[in-house]
Amino acid sequence: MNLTKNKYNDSVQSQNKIIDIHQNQNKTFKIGLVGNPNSGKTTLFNRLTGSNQYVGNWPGVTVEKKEGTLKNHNLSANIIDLPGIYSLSPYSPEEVLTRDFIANDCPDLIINIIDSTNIERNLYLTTQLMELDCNMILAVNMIDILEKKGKVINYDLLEKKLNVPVVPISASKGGGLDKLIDKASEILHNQIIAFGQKNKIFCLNIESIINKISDIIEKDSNIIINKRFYAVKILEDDFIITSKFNFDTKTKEKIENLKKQIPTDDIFDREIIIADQRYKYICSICKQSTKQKITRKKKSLSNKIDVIATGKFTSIPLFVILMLAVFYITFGPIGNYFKISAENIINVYIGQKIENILIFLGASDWSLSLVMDAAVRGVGSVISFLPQVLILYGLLSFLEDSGYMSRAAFVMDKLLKKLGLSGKSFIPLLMGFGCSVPAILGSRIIENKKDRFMTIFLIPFMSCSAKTPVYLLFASSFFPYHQTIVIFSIYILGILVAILTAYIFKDSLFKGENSTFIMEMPEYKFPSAKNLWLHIWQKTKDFIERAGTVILGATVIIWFLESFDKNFSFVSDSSKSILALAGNFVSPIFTVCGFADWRVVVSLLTGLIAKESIVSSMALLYASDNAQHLSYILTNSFSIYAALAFMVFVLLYTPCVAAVSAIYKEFGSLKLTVFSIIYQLFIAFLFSALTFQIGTLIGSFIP
Amino acid sequence: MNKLSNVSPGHSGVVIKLGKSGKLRRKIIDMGITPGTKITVLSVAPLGDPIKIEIRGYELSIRKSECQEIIIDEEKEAIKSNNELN
Repeated sequence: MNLTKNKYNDSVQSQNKIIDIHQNQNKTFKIGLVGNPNSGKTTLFNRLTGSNQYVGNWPGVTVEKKEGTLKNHNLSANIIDLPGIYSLSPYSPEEVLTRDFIANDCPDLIINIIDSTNIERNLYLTTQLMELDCNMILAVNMIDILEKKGKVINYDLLEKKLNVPVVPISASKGGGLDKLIDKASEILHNQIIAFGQKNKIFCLNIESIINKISDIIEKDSNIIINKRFYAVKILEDDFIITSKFNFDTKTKEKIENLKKQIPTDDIFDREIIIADQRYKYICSICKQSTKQKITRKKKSLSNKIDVIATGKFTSIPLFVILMLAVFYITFGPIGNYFKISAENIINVYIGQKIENILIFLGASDWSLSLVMDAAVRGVGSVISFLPQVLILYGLLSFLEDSGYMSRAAFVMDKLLKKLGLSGKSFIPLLMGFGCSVPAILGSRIIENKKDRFMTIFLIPFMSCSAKTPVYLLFASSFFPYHQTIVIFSIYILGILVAILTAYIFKDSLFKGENSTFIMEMPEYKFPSAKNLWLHIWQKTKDFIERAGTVILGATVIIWFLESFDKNFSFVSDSSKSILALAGNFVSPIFTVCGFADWRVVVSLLTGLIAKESIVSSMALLYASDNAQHLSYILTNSFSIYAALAFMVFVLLYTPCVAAVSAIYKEFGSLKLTVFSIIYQLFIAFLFSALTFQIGTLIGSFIP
Repeated sequence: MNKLSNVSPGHSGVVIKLGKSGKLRRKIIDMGITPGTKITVLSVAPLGDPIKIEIRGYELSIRKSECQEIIIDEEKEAIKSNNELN
């Protein structure tokens, strides 16, 4: 971007402009979506680009920059979805990311999306964005909800007052989006200047001081872009920005003198004066351009729900009931029904047919074994658990979309604070029951580094949904009448180990200043069916993809290694294979846990690739025809206590590669990542051995 | 005059003074808590902390330890003129 665009009143410039317009018709523009957390940026992003990015109803769903191509033939543009920010003075890593993008990458256009139901606070960021040398459009979102609340905004007046284009939209319903794109296209193709700098946000005295400081910046540092923004940040003593400038002592003195020209007292210091004047400016604009048509009922539905959801005596029981319900629906009769149906379809309809066809075609023994053992039985055994994984995922998504997550964080904050965490840790921890990877990334909503690291360290102990096939297989084989309670205990053990871990490390490894819990509570929303379906569909796709790639791959490798001996000749007895040889080398370690079997060791190893692989490897290695048969063999190979010990080990040991790499990415420290892996293995081994030993001891007293 | 952390649920007041400058105060300011604004304490979490407040038409949760330095005048009503551009 160049600043000469500002001065197109002379004729040479206008001629250039016409040429530029021609070039601009084919240019691909960069459009950034900026706004407060939970204002609907990702919903708008999905609408504009046709993508399916994750959306939820709590502040901070998006923690990474995401790019997509605009689906519109009139305008060629890349849309960048940015994490939400409340202000351009950032606190958490994802907020720094957004500020750096806007201030340094200079997008061609910013779409500042604001929540119309909360316009006052949302416009606070707008007043800061208006200080940048960047075109912007104000997209006033959620106008459908605003209407229901009986509020009216005069958009024309708002546009006139703010001096930037205003477009009312409803990102979730899709309203106003054509207008938004038309406006963007008009600005970008015709090089219209849509900066908001003309606005006099501050009082005359401060405005003149800002101008003086921007002049100093321009003269002294040759910075011409965003100098008003920098000038205000210098006035606010923004540490990151001031450290960017290397003024000499004389200039520094000059700036200090300018700062002193703002009268302050013990209540209003410079920082507060600037924020206060922004808000006064906003209030005066809001007062003129918004109207309350119908007086709102005293208590909104959100407030009514909150009386129960955050009430003194009701909130904790409600939380427990909700968690139990999620659990019961997933692992109780409903989930079980779907699992059995899926098993039938895979074994009877698909498996049998494939086998018949292969025999009919005259397939050789080894190729029949490859397809039937590795592909059908191995991968099939995993896929039959898909329904239950989906139910769990769907229910968690429902909670995420409803707005309950931030209430649960509110209720749990004090408990989590005692563990050296913050209420905000609750959201990624709960997401961990779905999948560790998004949960680990999601922990970026926690501003405090110590809290964030501790949360990431604990997430692997929240049993992820990929582990459920293992529990289901073992619980249904060994405890057919007490499945739900056994699996429930496993989940609880994971939580207890996390609590114990937090206690161990809160004053040592993750010591530091206390975190804050200043968090917006969004209004409840009934989760949209479309969004819910999107989450479930994504998970299904992901699951099938994994089954068809990594899990199948791992199973085929295992099949190969267990079918050939070290001379590469086909063996029918897998205990003579290369794999058995290697497995037998390691397995004695697990004697103390009760499962010193090379097949178990190999299965656990494949679990590092993907947890579901444990089941497919076992199905293959224990040479079962179908799930019933596998259960039968397992009950003959494991004692009850060994089975429990195995489940405990699977619960606690190192998560899959994808999760480990996410942990590494967030820690940015190899040392800490390796430490977490060692710790997980140690804890898994310890608790697994304890389970087996104590179980066996108790068992010896029971006749 | 009272600390926001001591205001009981259902009561409201006007912000008189914020505490020492720093990261925490910056966050508080950015969330819209500035001198002259009206705050209503909506509820206290079941375990006694944090609290939920209403400010500028939205709901915010904040720990008692974080609003220790926010001084509130429960008598005073939000001055309308204070919210207008002077």
